[in-house]
Amino acid sequence: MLQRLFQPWPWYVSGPLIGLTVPLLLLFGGRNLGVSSSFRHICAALLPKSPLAELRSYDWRKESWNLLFVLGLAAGAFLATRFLSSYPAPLLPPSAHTVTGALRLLGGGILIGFGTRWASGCTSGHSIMGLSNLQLASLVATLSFFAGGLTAALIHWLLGMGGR
Amino acid sequence: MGRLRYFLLGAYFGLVLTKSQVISWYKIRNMFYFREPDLYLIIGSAVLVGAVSVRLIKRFHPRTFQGEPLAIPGKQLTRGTVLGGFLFGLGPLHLGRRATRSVSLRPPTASDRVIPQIA
Repeated sequence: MLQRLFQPWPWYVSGPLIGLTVPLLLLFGGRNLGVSSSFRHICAALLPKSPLAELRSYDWRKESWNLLFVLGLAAGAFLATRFLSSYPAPLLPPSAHTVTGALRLLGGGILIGFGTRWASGCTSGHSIMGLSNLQLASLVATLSFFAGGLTAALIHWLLGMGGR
Repeated sequence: MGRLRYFLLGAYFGLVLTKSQVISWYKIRNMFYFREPDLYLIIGSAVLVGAVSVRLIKRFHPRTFQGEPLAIPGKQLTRGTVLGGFLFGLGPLHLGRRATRSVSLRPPTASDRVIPQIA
């Protein structure tokens, strides 16, 4: 039993536990689950004199709980990897640990960061919180995430990358 | 507790995301390649639990445990929802590259390594 704790958790354990974050955050903090809005808070905090009114006039302090949440996210991930895993979770393919791999990571990161702000949410805010709240925008966003992912997979397949 | 609770809730979320391995590039690729159902089942069951919770909270307990009123704002549908969402979806797999063909196609499993015995 204890051994299984150190293995990757099966979907029927981890899925509901992920979903449980929604009521926990609502009942303990009155907040809506979301991760990527922290990008906006960080930008607004770092660029108080930004020429973009969107950032300049934005009161990130009101949303600073989100930064604590994201800090906790990193701490929890560290805890899980360091103390609750028999072996580290396979995060990235070995090809990512090269110069071109790093550049690709950077490109992927920019797509994720830019896209998530444009869409006003990521997998947490839209696919988990938004869908839980039965929001049409979140359904559209989730389908768009999926369309993007499938397109990338199709390009991979056509170019013979990452294939079997 | 104060604001520490947000840190702790974040730690909970990070721990579960890590233990479920949804943070793994392999898991994400296998979802988009339709190779394994794990991520569909994880997202599906997470949304089910989340949706039931939100419904129950709205119905029976529209306040936090501190007694403050709860707001669950809706999400705005804009052009960015579709276009930004699409770019966001492109991101994770963008970093896969040709070399993945010659290296391991699956994440290491328990049998690949010696698992330390837990007393």
